[in-house]
Amino acid sequence: MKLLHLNRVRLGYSGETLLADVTLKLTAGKVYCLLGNNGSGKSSLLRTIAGVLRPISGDIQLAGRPLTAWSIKERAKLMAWVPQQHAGAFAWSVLEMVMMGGSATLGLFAVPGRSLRTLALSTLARLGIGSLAQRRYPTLSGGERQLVLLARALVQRPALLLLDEPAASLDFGHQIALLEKVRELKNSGMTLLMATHHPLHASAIADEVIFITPEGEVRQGTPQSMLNSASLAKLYRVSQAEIERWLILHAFSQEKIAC
Amino acid sequence: MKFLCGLLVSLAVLASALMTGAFPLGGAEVISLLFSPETLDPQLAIVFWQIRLPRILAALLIGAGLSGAGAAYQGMFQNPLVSPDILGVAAGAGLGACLAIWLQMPVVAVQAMAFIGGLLIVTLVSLTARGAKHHDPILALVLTGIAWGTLSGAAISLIKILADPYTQLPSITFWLLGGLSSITPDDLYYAGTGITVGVLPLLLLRWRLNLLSLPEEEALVMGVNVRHLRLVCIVSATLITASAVAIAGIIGWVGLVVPHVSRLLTGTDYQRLMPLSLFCGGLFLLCTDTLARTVNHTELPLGIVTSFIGAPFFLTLLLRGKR
Repeated sequence: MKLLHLNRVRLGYSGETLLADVTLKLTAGKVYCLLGNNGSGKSSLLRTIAGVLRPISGDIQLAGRPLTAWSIKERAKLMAWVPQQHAGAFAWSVLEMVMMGGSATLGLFAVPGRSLRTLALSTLARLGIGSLAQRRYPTLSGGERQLVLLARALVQRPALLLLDEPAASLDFGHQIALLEKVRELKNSGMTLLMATHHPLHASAIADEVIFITPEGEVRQGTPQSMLNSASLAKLYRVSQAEIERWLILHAFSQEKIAC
Repeated sequence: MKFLCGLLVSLAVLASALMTGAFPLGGAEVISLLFSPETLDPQLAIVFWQIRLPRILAALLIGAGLSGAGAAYQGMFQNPLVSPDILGVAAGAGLGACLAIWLQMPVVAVQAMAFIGGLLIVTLVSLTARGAKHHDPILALVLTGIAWGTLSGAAISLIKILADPYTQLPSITFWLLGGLSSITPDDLYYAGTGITVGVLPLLLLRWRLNLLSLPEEEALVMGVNVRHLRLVCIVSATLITASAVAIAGIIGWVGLVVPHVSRLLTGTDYQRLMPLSLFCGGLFLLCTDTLARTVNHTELPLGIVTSFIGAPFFLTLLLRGKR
């Protein structure tokens, strides 16, 4: 089933085009990794899909209906977005922050009850940060904040999860745990679209890979066809020999096939 | 324990407010005035029902309202530095009210003009702050608020010069000083309605206010119609501020500091913060107003007492409290 379909979308800020022609098809239950240079438009593409950045032209379909046809509340039950971490203006406790992910399920005047609290606590525990529940969000490290924002998005129980460089400030152990979590979510039926700077992460978990090339083209394909040193060299504007000298992609790919 | 403390303090403040003043009353007298007023001296009953009780209610309502509005403004502008006075809302409301007094309009119109002035300034402030894209948003907001507030202040001064020095000027000046000494039951009726209508949505939406202090886009993806919610909150908070300004003049400090004190006591969650701000604000203003009318033969301006008590208290909490 096609969960998300972008058809010839032109996107950018205040009329200025950033990506001229984006066509993407996301099938339910798969993991997609989005790769591209710094400033290539990965975040903007995610924001456009999330519905916070209005496309200049083109058509976005979410679960068979135009993105704009969904009400804000209905859309929040289908799709969640994990932005890059930030400090936040107020000293929320982590639990309060995560419970806000339940807004779409609560009535306008309602306050969160026991069930939302339990859901938030168990989500934190499953991400391995249950001990942070009573800490103040701004006092956390960048990686911890990132995981809290992930927990908040999971409380929305979305069908489609957009992740904006979730591994950016995670230590090695948490990166592994994140990949583990992504696979677990995929197995539960969730679709994930993850912007990442790590081709190795993509090679480890992606069912399909999406490139934003330096020329502003968007290409979608299998990990085998995309994650080779020739196409990565083009994507990141480095030489193929340099990539081969520093990274051993095929070792990871073989491991993936083995498990 | 905390709850019991709060209850005892509020009972003590309320009792002393009821009993003290130019006509001191005993506890028994207060009780009989409340439940069977005809048994006592009619003059005492008039003082109690027409002057003291409206004033106490006004202090509670205005204090609660200004603090609630301040807490709401701080949340929705994602800025713990803003308050009705810093955002220029109070000055805008003051300008509207002065204009109405100058044009000899009735009380209801003074309040309506205060509301329009306040709403106008808060709109202008948020529009210009959004337009000043090259600056830090928090700084831009505070600076534009100060600028628009100053502009309103200048316009108020201009009206004072143009006003009739024998009839209008004294009433404008007296009114601008801020205070609760001239509250009538009528004032209380109009402003009380405005404040209650403004406080109700803030109280009902208290948990949702949390989402307004997140970046707008995040809240949107989490299923919250940020624009509608923000509009409701701005209109409510401005209605409260304008109603308070219309009958009591510009009372600064309360709207900035009481939400902070409440935040130090209970944390950032508006589910608890909003009710606590309302409660502390009402209590604080009642306490200061009671002192203002009792410590000296002539009444002290409320603003002076508010600052003398509020500032040291706030500084103490800031140094001792944990975030």
